[in-house]
Amino acid sequence: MVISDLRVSVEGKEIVRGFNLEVKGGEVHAIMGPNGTGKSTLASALMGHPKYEVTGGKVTLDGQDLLEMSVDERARAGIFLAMQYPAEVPGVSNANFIRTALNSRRGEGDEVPVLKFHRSLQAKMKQLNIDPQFIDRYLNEGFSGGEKKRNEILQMAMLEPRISILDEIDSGLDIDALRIVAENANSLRSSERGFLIITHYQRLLQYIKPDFVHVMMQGRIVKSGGYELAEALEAQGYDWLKDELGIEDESALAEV
Amino acid sequence: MALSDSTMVNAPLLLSQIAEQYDEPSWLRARREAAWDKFVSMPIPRIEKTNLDNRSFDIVDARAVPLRAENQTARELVGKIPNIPCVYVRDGNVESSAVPADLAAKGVIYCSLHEAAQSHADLVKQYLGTVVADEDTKWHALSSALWQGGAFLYVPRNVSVDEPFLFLHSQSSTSGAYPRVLVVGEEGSSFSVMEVVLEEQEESTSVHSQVVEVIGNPASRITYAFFSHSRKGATHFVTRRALVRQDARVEFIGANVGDAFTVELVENRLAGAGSSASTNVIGVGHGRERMDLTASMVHEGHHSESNILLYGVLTDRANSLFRSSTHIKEGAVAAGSEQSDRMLVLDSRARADAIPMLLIDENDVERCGHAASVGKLDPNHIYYLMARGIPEKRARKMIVWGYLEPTLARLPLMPVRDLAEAIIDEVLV
Repeated sequence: MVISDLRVSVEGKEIVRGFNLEVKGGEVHAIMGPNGTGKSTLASALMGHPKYEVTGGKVTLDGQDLLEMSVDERARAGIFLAMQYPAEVPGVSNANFIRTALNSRRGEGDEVPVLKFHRSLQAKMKQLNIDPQFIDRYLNEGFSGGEKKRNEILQMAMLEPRISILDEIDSGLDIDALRIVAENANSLRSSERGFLIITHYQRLLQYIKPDFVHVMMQGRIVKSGGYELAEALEAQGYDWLKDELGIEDESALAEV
Repeated sequence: MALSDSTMVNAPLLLSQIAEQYDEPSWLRARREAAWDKFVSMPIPRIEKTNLDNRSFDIVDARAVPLRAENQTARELVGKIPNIPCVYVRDGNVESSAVPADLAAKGVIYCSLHEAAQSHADLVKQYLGTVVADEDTKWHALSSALWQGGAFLYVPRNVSVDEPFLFLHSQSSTSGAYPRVLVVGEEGSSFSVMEVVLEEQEESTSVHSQVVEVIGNPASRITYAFFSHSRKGATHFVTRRALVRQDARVEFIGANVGDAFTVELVENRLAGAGSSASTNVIGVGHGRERMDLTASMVHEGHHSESNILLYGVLTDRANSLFRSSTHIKEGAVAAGSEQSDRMLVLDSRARADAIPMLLIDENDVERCGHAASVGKLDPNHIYYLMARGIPEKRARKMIVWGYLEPTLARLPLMPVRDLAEAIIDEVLV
């Protein structure tokens, strides 16, 4: 996936302001940064949320123009966004939802056999330590914050995307749940799959070691490095970096 | 609108024909005649937001005979459930009536109301018209005057029946339909009823009146489920009311689909202490459907509990009004009640109104909650499903089905559930 000079506005305000990044198969990129610097907006815009208006730039996945695609087309092309606040959809069972999603991706005539699907779903739920009853429960309805996050990872495991974007998957997770989620995300690392991990904290990155760490401020990447950059931020906070870069207001809405 | 001359001549004739055909006892015939007089003299009621001034109360086709070939859907449904106690009525005529021998041996009575008026006259006389009185409203009087082909169910004390009792009414002629159902659950009995009303004919100008009376004697457990598919043209009046006595529980679970003009009341009178009731109804309206649905709970007994759950889905130019009404009368100490009314408008030309009503005469009430919402599909739900690769159209459909599924899943007969799903699927395309 190649993102070049991406600009995204929400309700007329530009939040992502010239974002550049290339994520190749097998790579894990972490995007860090304080609140309000445009990280989640970037994630939602890549997925195509209708509230986020792309005003400039280009995004391609395997050479295809991602921005031309509808939300479902992007998903079928291999983009997966583990959401910060997944919707609760009453009356739609988790299993039905995941199977429909999987079959939409595989296409007509190549639907996964029902038994095979359930075996695979059950195995993955076990890995994620998800209660088997969740199969028939309605999509995220009444799930705790941690259960929702695990359900996002379950979907990712079932759909096997090309690019996985994890938007603050660590928020609302206790340390054990974080470990389980991270282990499962790690097990999905492959040369075929790129990761974009959005987080405030270095904690998650201890479990999913990124190849690249980028810091986002004022709606763009202001510094890139390896894992040591995440460690430096954890030890010294963002103020150190702001001082170094001469940034006073890091927010996406800051005047530049 | 005034009744036509032909109605004034033909309807009393129909009344005598029915009474003669079924050799009805004189008390029943006298009731029919008294009810007819009430029907003629009673005014057309005023219903807030639903105008009945232009609805015809005329009785079309004074003798109900099946005009067309049998409704295949109805026949297939009967064929799919051979071992279920069933009363099948076609255009007011009793097509078949069966109750398995083991149930009959336990004293369970299930037959057409005509048959019951002969074979169990004492029970019919004791209960008929006690829950839904002729005087309540013009169409209740109409039902008492002209009912045809209804069902009578009696479950004796402490008898539990697992399989549901099916009442199937299929209307293929253009004449008015007046199904009447009387259900008596004796103390400690437990059972369920599945009512199916299928209307095949469009553009009838007749008036239909259906009345269902359920008597839940102390500590009985009764589930009364219904599925109705009604068509445009006629005016439909439907009243299902239960008397819920001490420690009894009555649940109404229903699905209405169609493009008809309907005024429907589902009511529980929680007369006994510790009685409880729930009403869970979905309505799917299409075309120019006009539905005025009231789900009502009347609390009289102390520690009585009720729950109303309504879901509406409106498409095309359908226009539905769902009222949920709870009346806690003085003396219904520590009563508890919840209402939830959610309506989904799928087309910009469709309309939905949700009106919660609470009338509380008692100071000591345990809880009384209500929630009502009218809106479109939640764009965040659609986005979430699409973000997993599900195309928009499919995603919308899944969310709508998510609204309806939990209620449909509670219908006690699988073939009825399948039928309801197939009809709704056709309507929502």
